Amino acid sequence: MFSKVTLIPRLTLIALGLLTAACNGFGTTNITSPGNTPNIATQVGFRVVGRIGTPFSCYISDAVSSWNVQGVVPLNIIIVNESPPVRITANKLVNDSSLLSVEVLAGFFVKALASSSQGFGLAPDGYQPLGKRVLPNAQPASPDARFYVKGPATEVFQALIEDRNTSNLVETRAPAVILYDQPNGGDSTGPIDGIFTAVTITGGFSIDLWWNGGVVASKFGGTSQTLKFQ
Amino acid sequence: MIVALILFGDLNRARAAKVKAAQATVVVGFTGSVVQVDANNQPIPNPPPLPYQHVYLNVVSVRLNTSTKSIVSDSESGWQTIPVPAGVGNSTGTGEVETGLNFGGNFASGGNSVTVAEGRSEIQIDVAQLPQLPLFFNAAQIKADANYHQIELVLDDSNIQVTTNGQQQTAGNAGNVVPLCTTTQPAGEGCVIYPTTIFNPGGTISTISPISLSKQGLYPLVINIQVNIQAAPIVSGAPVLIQPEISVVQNSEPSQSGLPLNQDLATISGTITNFASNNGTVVTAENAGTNIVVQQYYVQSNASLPGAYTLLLPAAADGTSYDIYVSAPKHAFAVKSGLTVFPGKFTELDFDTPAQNAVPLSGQLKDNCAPALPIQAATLQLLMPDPNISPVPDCTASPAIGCVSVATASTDETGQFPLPGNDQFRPAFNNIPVGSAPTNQLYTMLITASGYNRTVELVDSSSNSLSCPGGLGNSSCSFNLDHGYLAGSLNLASPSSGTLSAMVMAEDTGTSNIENFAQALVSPSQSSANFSMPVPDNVGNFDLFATVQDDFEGQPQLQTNHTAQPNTGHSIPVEADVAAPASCATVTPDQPLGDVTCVGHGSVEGGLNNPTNATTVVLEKDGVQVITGVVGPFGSDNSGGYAICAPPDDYTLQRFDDGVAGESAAVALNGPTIVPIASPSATPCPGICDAGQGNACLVCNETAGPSL
Repeated sequence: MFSKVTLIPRLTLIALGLLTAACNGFGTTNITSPGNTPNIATQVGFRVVGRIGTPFSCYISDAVSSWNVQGVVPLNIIIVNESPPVRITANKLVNDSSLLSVEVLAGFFVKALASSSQGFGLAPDGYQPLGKRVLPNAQPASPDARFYVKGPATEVFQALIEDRNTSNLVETRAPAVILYDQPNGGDSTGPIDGIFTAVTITGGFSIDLWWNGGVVASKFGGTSQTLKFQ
Repeated sequence: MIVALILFGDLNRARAAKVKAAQATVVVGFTGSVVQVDANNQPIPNPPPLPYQHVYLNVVSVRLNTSTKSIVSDSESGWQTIPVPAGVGNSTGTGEVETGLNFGGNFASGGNSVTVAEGRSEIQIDVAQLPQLPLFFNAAQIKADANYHQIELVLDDSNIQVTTNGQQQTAGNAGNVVPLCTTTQPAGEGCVIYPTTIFNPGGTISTISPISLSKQGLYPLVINIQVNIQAAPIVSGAPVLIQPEISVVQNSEPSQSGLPLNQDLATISGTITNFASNNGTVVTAENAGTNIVVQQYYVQSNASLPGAYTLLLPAAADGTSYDIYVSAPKHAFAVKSGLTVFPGKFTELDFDTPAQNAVPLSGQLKDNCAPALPIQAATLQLLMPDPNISPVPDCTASPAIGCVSVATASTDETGQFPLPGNDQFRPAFNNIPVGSAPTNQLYTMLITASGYNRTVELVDSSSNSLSCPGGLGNSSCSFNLDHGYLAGSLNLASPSSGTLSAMVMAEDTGTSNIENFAQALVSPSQSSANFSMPVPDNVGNFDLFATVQDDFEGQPQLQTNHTAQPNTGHSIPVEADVAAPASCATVTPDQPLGDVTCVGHGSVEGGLNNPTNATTVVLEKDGVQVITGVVGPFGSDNSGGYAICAPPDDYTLQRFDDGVAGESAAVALNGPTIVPIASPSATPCPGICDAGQGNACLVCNETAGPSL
């Protein structure tokens, strides 16, 4: 039923999935009952999709920080250590009829969807948990820490993103940008690291670690990579 | 649940595009219309103009079943699904035919579940904007069967929590709508997003239409979506009742080649001589003169007709032009420029792609005024002249008529190109044929990036390598792009109570061709913010305008076409004919943009005389084009009309047909009505912005526009 190539990653995913569930990383249960430890809110992510190759500029804000991200369709964007609610505004950077669509996902489901096919058209979106009424326009992120997972295209990967005291497990598909909100409580000196593991094995990684506007670490090739800053 | 998702998820998305023997390829397109109905979902006789600007549906998939039951449930076997495009490259749901679209997530084989890390995919289509030409949705290989009976449109069936007059309630996520303003009270606020609820939420959106799919056949399936919709809501934010219905636009008789024809689609078919092995040859159709991919066909190397291809393309009655090119690893490109095709007609077109050495093309783009600054999200196109045109087309011209964009790349966050592919799909720039024999491939590279000069560079491919004579260093293909700067400030009439986000747009003067934009964030208690943006220094003067992004009930509002910010409730300041800067110099407008103040919403709608797909209506303020209106929808209640949301002000309405200015008229948009709340309320009435209305409601008013 499963090819040799995909069986191992599938089994790996199952193991990781069960492990994560056991640690209450996501899901709705509290399997090991380690105490009165509620799950965190459903993780919110963004997908910028539409015509492949359409350039866009994206403004993202949660309650604490904001970022400007430029890229091309498709791109997954995830905020690690996010503080909801979140706002995203994506502008096309071309005067043509290409479709640009922004999806806000919470868990597995599209919670908000906005599209534009006009020149320099705008797709604004937002997501707020119940009880939150105002979408933020926060100050620019400081420090501005990002992981650009540029390839291999279509690769599903897992990333363990860490600062001095916490770790966050992320799973998504390349190309992706992972924005780290307030690592080490906003300490501009770091440290942070990211451990990346490919799941679907479609090629070698191409990952940059970006810190305050410049690349401070890069890794190419392989299906498992670690990037560190300080 | 997690285990099931992993086990049955599709991890094989990027495999070669081979068509299986027992399958057929279905190419799905949409047409649409909107019908106004009463509370019982019955059409209103002689309806008024459609009171909606947008009617969005969130489409998940189209699926077919051979069951002859009147209602076929999800749990019944036999469903064959054509999902939205997903992944990159050879994505789930596509076989020998695919689009240039991507919608992120993917599906398990059942078409209704998702894999880990994905989330569900869906595409948002505006039925009020579905034109006469079908919108190409997707193509997929499904089981060949002569007896398909049921066709179903699957929309997002999840629920969302919405806020209506400050109260939380549940609505469907099948779509949403944007009503125009009205002249009657009571009324909800217009020009903002409303959720929808389906009249019959438990039912399916399906039709019965016999379809026969032969093995390895190609079948066009054009679905007409009619959305029945109730009158505009009288409570702000309240869900609007809709009921989508579908029907199939039947195919006509097969062409001489045996391919089915459709009244809305043109068929192009032919044979590739010297095609690549392993289905490696791809035939691509682009909108003429652009790099916008409409459809791609993976030429089968081991099928019953090896080397054959077929494209099914949307075509207007008076013809639609496409650029066609053929590419394959280590084979020469073959191109056809500006092929005009007609609906329901068949065109035969053959190509030859002899084997040829190929090499990668890479480089880096940086800012000429700040050489350490990489240029992100730039687009690079490799243009090639159509060899059948004499004299040879000049691909350095603008527009490059007779040239075809045969490869496109983008820059990453460091300005380097191309972006990575994967083991199965290499970037187009990694396979550029070189050498003078057997075919002489002539290339021109067109580089575009928002705010930078359009740059054209020759690429020398005469030897067995690629070089750029105009590049940095030793004829590398890295470049520094030139530009100037526009800087200034945006003023508010009074200090902002919270952070206000505004977008300042710079467009070529007298046009709606936007060159760049800058975000201006006005901090709480402040009344001004500065902006600066790079702009080209070689395109002439600029018009500036700014719009504020307003939220309604915690939801950012939808865009009004080329306006940078969504249906804003703030006035739009403009400044016309700002001088262009010199290279690396900064130009500042004579006065700050402003003063911006909250004025609420307004809308204007009117008729159009003999509109076509190329008709647009633009709202101008003091000679600056600020908003492009919604035209149409064709074939609907308000066929041949325009509708525009804009803050109340004095404007000029200008009609364009295919870019040529036509009739114009002055129009003053009515301001909103302040509707007092009957009794004291702890919750302010929702409003697009604060115009000093207190707890009262700010409800917009319609303006009847002239016919153009």
